[in-house]
Amino acid sequence: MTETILRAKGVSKRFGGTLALDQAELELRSGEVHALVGANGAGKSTLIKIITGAYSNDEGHIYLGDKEIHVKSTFEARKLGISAVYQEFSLINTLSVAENIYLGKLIRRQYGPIEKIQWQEIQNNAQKILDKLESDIKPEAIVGNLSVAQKQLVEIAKALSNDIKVLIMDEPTASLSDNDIENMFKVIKGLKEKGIGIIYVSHRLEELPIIADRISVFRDGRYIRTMDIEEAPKKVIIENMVGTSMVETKRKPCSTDEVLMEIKNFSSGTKFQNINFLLHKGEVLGIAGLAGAGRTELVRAIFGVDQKDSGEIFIHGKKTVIHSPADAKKAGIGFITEDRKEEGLILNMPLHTNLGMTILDKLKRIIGLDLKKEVRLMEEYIQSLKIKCRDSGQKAHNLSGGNQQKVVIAKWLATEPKILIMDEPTRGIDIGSKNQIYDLINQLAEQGMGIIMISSELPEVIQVSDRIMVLAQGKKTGELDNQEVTQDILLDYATRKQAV
Amino acid sequence: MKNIKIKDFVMKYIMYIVLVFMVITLTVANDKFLTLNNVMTILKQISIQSIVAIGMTMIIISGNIDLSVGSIVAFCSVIGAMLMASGVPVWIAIILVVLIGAVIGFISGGVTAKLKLHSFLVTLALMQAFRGLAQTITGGYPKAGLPDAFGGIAAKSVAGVPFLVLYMIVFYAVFVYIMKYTAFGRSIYAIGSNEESARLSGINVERVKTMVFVISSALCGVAAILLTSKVRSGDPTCANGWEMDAIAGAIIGGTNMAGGEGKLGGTVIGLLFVGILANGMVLLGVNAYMQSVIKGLVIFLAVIINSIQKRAHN
Repeated sequence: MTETILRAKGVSKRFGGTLALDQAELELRSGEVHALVGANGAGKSTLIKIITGAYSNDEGHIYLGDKEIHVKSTFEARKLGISAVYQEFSLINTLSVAENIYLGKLIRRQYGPIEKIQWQEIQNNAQKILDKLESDIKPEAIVGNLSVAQKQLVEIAKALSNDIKVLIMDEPTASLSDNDIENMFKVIKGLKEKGIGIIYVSHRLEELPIIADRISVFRDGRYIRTMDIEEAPKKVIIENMVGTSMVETKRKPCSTDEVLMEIKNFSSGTKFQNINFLLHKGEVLGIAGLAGAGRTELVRAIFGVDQKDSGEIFIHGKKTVIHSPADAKKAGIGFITEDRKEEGLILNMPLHTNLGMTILDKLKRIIGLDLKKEVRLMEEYIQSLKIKCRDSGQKAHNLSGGNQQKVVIAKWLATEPKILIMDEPTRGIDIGSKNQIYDLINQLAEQGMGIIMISSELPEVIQVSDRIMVLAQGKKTGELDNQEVTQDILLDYATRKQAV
Repeated sequence: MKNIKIKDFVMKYIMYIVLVFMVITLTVANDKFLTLNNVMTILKQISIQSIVAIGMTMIIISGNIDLSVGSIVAFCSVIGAMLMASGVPVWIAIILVVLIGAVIGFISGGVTAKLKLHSFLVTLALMQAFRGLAQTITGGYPKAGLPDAFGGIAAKSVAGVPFLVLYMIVFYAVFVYIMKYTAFGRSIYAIGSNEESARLSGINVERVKTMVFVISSALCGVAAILLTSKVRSGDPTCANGWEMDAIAGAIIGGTNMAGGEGKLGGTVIGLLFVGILANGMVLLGVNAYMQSVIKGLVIFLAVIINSIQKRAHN
């Protein structure tokens, strides 16, 4: 039980001039769940990628059992028994579950010069692995038709199809519902019993006491310390992550009576039905709900990204027709999407170019564009939003998640919107950046902006919003003042079936 | 440290280094190569295609492809020749031909953008259709009988520099500017890199995509005028395979086939590369079939070098 199966000693990694990982340590025992926590840019993912062979380390040693290993590819790592399940799945949507599990090592038999894939055997083996996970997924099912939770299980099954000693899980519960999370924990406990060591990366500190045995904290590329979970309550973890103690600030409501936007009778198929609400000047309206409640779909329809069946928008009392994001932008609405990498940014382009994308109209001169203004604006936002980067010419993919998110925010602030829609603005980013974004939301509201914020984290909705609208299965089930709200009340509304 | 710098430098400018190397070799091998006359011949040779390649580069950067450019040039050339032969004033014919090009681009781009079809398929169909149309309306024979004044457009030169070369320089100057310093140009790069992100930023993706095709096909109209003037007839079989030459020029010049990256300056280098190679082989008396093999191999190598370059860069 206490046998060490994986050890990293003094591991360092540089990217160009930045030290992404500085003398990291990790000791993983068999049959333990070892949580890695740290703000974005703390070095967790770099360490993981070195262990799985996706990156090579500049300094330090990694031992599997008592043998030092030098893995050069994820393929080699997998052969040694180290597998990783990332947030972004590596599954191929058009293939079956069984084929995905055995991809790259399909069981074949040679008949003279002709080889034949043994589909029946593959199916049977896949079924056995899925049974072990107590899953009812059929091996012949097409992966594209599965839910996120099921896909994650298939990923785990894929890892288990090798003789596995170390399993790395990167934010396995980030996109799961409460029910699925419970199942996931069961699966993880099953794996522990088989003696597999699990490295568990998560931002959800509340779940760690339930699932983790030990916890290692990283900050700014440095290893801070390892603790038994019993001696690491949330407060202690956060202190170690942040380095200085945090002060919680209460939100001062600065909402006015002036109606900025009115949404009337918004409906779109089964996604959401008959949604009405008001947004006031200086108000932060939170939208709460469980996964699949239709929150993102609703704001996408408001912003003109997706078609709607019916619905009217009034801005300053005037009916406004919005058919496209371009229309919405003209109407003074900004939209910070859920997926900053795919939708928010162009990762291979410099920061100032990303900023310029929304304000090309404003940069226009009689001939050409005012590119100096673009750079100047970006530099102003780097200052005011405290974006950590080399300069405004750095490419977006080199930034950490929290800083990328700030760039997305900057690019919409540059349009000087009256209404700002933020979909999960703090998802997957570190606590430091989170607090900065909360402060920013406060400031913007004080300046009179109307803000709609979707968040799956109930404490966050309660902390940040003036008023909270709750959606459940596409219906509006409640509208609450933040003074009277608790997490229990919100959850109650979020699980109701009756619209208000 | 110094070694790394040299390596980086070589990696970054390898295409230019190979180009210079090729020029030096040819200069040594043949005394006719580096003469003003021959240099102008090479530039003249690539000038008309290079105008088509502007549009192609923009289309590839926007994440699309256009296989129909050669056919559009032929179709526009034939129409222009017929208009002028039937007595329509030269300048009106020119405007009409460019407009017809633009309309064709509006069709291919509009269909591609609006119906979200793959431009490969749309333009593959148009490639067949317009080549066929050009042959149908002429009965397969070149259309001659053009006014003498029209020939001057391509044939004249000023201070030893052919007009064709000047047109090329002017068009490239204008479009390099458009790609770098206008909202339209920036939108093309954004759409090619990440269409969804561009759309959510309030860029009118459909319009930009369509406009890129309109411009590209209008430039085919311009190329058709120049080509018609150069050969003094509207030939339905002309500009055969130009789509491939334009694509090759763009790719050798570093444009990313997947969209989002590329420079018009690179495309000129790419075309020069192929042009100088072809010219050199003729001067050295390489057999025509072998020329094609060598050209193919060089393009192949260039593409490999480019991909290595990109990987090193990332």
